[in-house]
Amino acid sequence: MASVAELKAAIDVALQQIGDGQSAVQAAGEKLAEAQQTLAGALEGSGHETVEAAQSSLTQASQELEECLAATLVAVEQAQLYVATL
Amino acid sequence: MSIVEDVGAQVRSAADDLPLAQLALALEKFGLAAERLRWVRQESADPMGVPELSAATEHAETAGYALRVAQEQLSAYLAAIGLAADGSPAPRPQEQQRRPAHDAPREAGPGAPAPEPAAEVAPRRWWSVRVAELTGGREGPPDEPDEKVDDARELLRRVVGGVRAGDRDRLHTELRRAHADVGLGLAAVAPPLLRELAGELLGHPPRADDLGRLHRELDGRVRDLLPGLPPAVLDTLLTRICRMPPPRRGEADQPHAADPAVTAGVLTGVLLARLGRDLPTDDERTRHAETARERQASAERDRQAETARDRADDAGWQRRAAAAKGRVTAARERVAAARDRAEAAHDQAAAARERATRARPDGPPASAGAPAGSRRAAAEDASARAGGPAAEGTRAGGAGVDGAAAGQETSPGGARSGREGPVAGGRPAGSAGRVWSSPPAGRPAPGGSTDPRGRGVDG
Repeated sequence: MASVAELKAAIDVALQQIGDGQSAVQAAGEKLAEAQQTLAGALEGSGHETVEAAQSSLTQASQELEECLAATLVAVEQAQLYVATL
Repeated sequence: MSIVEDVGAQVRSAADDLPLAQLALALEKFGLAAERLRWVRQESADPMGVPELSAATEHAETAGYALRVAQEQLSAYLAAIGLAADGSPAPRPQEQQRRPAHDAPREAGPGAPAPEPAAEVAPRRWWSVRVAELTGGREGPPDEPDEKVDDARELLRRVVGGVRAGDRDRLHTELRRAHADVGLGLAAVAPPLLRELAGELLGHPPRADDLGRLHRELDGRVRDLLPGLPPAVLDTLLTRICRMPPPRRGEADQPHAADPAVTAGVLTGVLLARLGRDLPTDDERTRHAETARERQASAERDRQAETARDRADDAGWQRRAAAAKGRVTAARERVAAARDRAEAAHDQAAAARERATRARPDGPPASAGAPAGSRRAAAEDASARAGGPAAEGTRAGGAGVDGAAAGQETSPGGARSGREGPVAGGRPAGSAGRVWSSPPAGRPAPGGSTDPRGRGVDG
């Protein structure tokens, strides 16, 4: 039979995994920002449509990463609230 | 390297460095956490953050899709400017990495007693099988996962230790016992080190010309340690280090998901062994990153200062040019004014000559015009020398011509030159040439003299 302690431990592990995922997303965001900066410098003055499309895609990816991080923060908060009620 | 090659290298480097590996790692972690929470919350009405976690996973997947689209667009751009003949996007092993790790447990029924072990065994098996194929080691029953190795950097440290010791069995064991998601993380942590170490080996940042040398220096040792590695995997890794387009490859030749990660880890160890160095610690990495940031910031500051200096120089030149232009304009204006004055003086002299010519045959003393004129000229000279009264006295015997020298008639000082024109001496313009008459009898003429002529022409 599972106990509350096991339940809490399982949620803690899940929270730890979410934390790892958040770190990876943050690292991805930083790396993406660097790539955007590099591309902005290298492709300054280009009017090629693929360049503009690529930069739009990178901006979209950056926004998605931010929203991803925000969603994980809410998820962590809810899981912690649940643990507190156990 | 030409300018266009340099631009292409920068674009290719940025496209290769897009954080797809980190995103794959995040998706792995979110997937595992979601599975665990789903298992925990079975039969519970509390969502426990699972819907938000699903939303986060969706956002991360969308971000990954956007990154891949950006990669393809950048590849298309490189092809358009003639730098990537194949125009094919870089291989994306991350797509494969994401597949098996956490999807299997999600399909487990809600009543499964212990979904967690199934989630761990499935990915570890394919990982350990592939590691065995690559290292040429035995493929026995899976070892117990090493829970201490929960981070790709720790695994990289162990792999480097195995490579530096030249112990293939140890390398095999360390890689095989790692969790698949940790092992795949090698593809994220090793590449930045690889370029740095390769640069240290070559003595300069790796470029296209160095690909052959890197092959010669590293191929043999990597093949010793990974005899089962397809040659294309190492070739792709080295071309990326040299910021070159990846070799063209068909869909069937796509490498196994584990291959780039394992190869990157082993290659890091081989390079460190060649350089006689250890893996940098976290502190060293942090210091190195800070140094790099400071160097970049310093370069940026220098660039901005140079730009500001250039702008200041430009502004100085512009100011000097504007001042010179102003001086030229002022000089032109002065010249024009002097020319106007000269013309006016010339006109006045001409008018005076004309008046003198007209007046000469009319006046009563015409017969004595020349002497009168001579007398007037003498009187004018005297007036100029001695003062106004001489002028009035001169008029009494003059020819009645009051030309450009009319100033002598009214100016008390009498020293004004006739060149000053009719306006000088407070006389209204246009008064020259007016018909004048003598004052009535019994009224003294101005200046106390009487005019014997009675009337005449002024000017």
